[in-house]
Amino acid sequence: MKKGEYTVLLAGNPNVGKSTLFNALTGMKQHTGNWSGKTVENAVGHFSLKDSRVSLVDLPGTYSLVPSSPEEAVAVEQICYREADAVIVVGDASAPQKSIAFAMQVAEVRPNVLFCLNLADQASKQSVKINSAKLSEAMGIPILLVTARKREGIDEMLNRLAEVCDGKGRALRLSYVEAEQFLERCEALLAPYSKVASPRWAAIRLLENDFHQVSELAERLALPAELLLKLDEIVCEWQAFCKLRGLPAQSFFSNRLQDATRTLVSEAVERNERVSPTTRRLDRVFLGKWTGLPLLALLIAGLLWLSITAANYPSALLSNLFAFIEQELRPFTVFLPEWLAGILWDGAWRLLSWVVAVMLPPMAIFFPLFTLLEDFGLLPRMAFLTDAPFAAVGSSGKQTLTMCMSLGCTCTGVMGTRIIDHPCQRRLALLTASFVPCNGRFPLLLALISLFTAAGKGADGVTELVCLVLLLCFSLTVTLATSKVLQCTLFRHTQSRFVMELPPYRPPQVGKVLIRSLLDRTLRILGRAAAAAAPAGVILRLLCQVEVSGDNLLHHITVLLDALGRFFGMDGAILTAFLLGIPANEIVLPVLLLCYTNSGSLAPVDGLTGVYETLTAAGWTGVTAICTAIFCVCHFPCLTAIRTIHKESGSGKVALASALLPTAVGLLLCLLVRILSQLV
Amino acid sequence: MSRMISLSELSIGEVGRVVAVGGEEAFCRRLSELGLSVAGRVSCYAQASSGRTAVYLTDGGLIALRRQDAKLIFCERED
Repeated sequence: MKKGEYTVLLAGNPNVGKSTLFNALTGMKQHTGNWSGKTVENAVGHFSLKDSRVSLVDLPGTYSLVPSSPEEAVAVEQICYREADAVIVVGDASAPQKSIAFAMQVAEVRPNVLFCLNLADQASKQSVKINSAKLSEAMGIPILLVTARKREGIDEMLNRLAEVCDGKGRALRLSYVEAEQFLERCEALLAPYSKVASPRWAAIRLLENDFHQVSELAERLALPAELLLKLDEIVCEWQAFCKLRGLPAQSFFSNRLQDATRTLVSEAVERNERVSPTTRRLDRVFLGKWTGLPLLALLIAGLLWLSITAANYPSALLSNLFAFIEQELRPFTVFLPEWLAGILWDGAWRLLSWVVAVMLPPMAIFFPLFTLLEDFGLLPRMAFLTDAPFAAVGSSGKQTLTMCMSLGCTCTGVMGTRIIDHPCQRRLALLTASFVPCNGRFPLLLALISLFTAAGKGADGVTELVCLVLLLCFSLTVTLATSKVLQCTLFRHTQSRFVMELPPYRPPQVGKVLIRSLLDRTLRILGRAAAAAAPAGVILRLLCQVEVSGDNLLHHITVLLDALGRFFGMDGAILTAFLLGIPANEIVLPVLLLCYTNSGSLAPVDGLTGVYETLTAAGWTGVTAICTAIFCVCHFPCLTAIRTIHKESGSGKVALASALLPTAVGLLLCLLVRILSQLV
Repeated sequence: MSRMISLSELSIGEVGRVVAVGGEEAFCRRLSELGLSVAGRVSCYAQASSGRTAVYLTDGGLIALRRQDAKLIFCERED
C-alpha cells in the first residue's frame, strides 16, 4: 500500500452500530442511538492505516438508495456521487436480511465496497449462521464479521480495507436478462460521464425513469442535452418492450434485486428464531396491552421529575460558584467606568450565570438518562404505543419521541423531527414543538406550582409531581387539539401512514452514553443558550439603567404592556418578562422579579424566598398564576429554537408560524380563563 | 391454498405469507426495505391496546404498522 490520503465512507441501515464502528476506528466520541435517524450531521474522523491517513465519513443511516427523508437523501447522495477510495457498508449480523439488501444496492453503484457485518456476538448468541464466503462470492465484495463494541475483528477489517482502497474493483453486475440489451446501450453512452457511480447503475436509474432520480442523475453527471435525448429514446423503447412483454417497467429492476437478495439470503443465512428470546420477553412487558403505556408514561414522568429535583443541589452549587467568581474577579475591573462594569457584571455575567445554573444540571441529568432509554431500544416502542391519538389528528406516534426530546430542549426536539419521514406530519411536529415545556420553562412553572399550591411555603414532593403530570397532560392536549385544528384547515387531504422499525433491545453502553450525551447534547445546547444570554444581559442592563423622564426603560415597557397583559389575565411585567425571555426562556422568572422590585440587577438564583410576597404585593391572584402558567406552556419558543425550526424546515413562514401559533393559542386560553373566572 | 386475508386480520402469533402489497409506491418500498415484501413470511407480534396499531415480525425484523395500512397488505395463513 502506498503512502497517501484516503477517503472512506461509512454507510448502512440505521441502528446497526455504524457509529459504534466509527468510534472504534477513529476513537472519536460520536454519539450513537438505538433507533433510526440518529446521526444528524456527517461526522468525519481520522485514523491511520498502514502508512496512510484515512478520513472516515459517517453517513446518516438509510434503508435503501431511494431516500424517503431529507436525512437519508444526504447519505444517498454521497454514496452515489461522492468520490471516495472505499465505502464500508455496515450491517447487522443478527438480522442480516435488510443489511444484505442494502449492501447489494451499494455494491451495484460503485466498486471498492467492503461489507462489514457488525454485532457478530449477538448473531452467534441468537444462533444466526452466516456463510460469508458464499455471500462474498455472490456479491463480489469482501465480507467481514465484527463486533465493534468489543473491537473484535477490527484488525482483520482494516487489513481488508487497505486492500480495497488500493484495489481496482468493479461494481457488482447483476444479470437483468430481458433488460440487458437496453442497459448495454445506455451504459455505452453514459460511460464517459459516470466517474463515481458505475455506468450500469446510472443506466438502471435511467430505465426506471423516476423523474427525481433522472433529473438528479443528469445534473450530477452533467449530461449534455443531446445525450439525454438519445437516452430518452432508449427509455421509450424499453417501456414499449415492457408493455409488449407485460413486464412492470418501473419496478422491474428493484424486483429483480429483491429476488436476488432473497435467494442469496436463503442460501447463505441460517437462523431459527427471528427475534431473540430476550427481546420477546421484554416486549411481553413493554408492548403488553395493559402494561406498556402506563410503564412508559411512568418512566418519562419519573425521568423528568428526577432531572428536576436532583438538579436543585448542583444548581445552587453552580450559582454559588458564579457568585464567588464575580466576587473575586470584579475588583480587577475597577479601572473600567462604572456603567461598563455594570453592563459586564450585573448584566451579562449575572444573566449568563442564571442561565447556566438553571439549565445545565437538569439537562445534564435528563439527556444521559433519555439517551440510555434510546440506546436500550424503548423509544421506537413508545412511538408505537402512542400512535393512536396522534393518528387521529393527522400526525404519528413518532411525534411522541420528538415531544419527549423537547422536554429537555425544544431545539433537540426540533432536530429530532427528522425521524418523521412524512412531510406534513413533520411540519405539524415543528409547528407544535414549543407546546412542550422545555427545561428552561420548568423553573417558572415549578415556582408557580410551589408558590400557589402551598401559599408560599413550598409544596411537598407529591403535590409537585401531581401538578407536573397535570401540566404534561395539558401540554399534550394542547398539542393534539392544535394539530387537529391544523389538520382540519391547512393539512387537509394528506394521507398519513406510520411505518416504524422496532429494533431489538440492546444493553446500553452506560459509560459511553453518559459522556457522549453530555458532550453532544447538553454542552452544545448550553453553548448556544449562553451565547444568547450574555447579549440579552447587556440589553436588560441597559433597559434598567437608561432613564427617561424619571423612570427606567424597563418600567416604561411594563407600563406600556400593562393593559394588554391585564386583558389576558396577566400584567405588563409578565408580558415584558416573556418578551425579554426570547433569547433564553430561563430568564423569564428573574426578569419578572426585576420588573416588580425595580432593583436594577438580577436576584440570585435561589431567591425563591420572598417571591410569593413580591408577587402577591404586585397584585397576583390565583387566576394570574394560572394564566401565567398557561402562557408559559403556550408561547413562542426561544430564539435558538426558532432559528433551528427555520433551518430544519427551510422555510421562514414555518418558523414564523411556529412562534405565532403557540402564542395565539396561549393568549386565547388565558383570555378564556380570565373571562370564566370573572363570570363564576 | 388457503384463503387470502389482509394482514390486519392476523391475530397475535399467527403466521402468514405475503401475497400482495398495495398502497402507493413509497409505502411499498419502505415496507420492502424493512423486510416485508411479497413471498416473505410475516406474523403478528403484538397489538396496541387501542387496537389501531400492531407490530409484525417480518424477515427483516419487527415493524409497527397501523391497522388501516395493514389492510393494504394481503397474505395467506400458514400453519
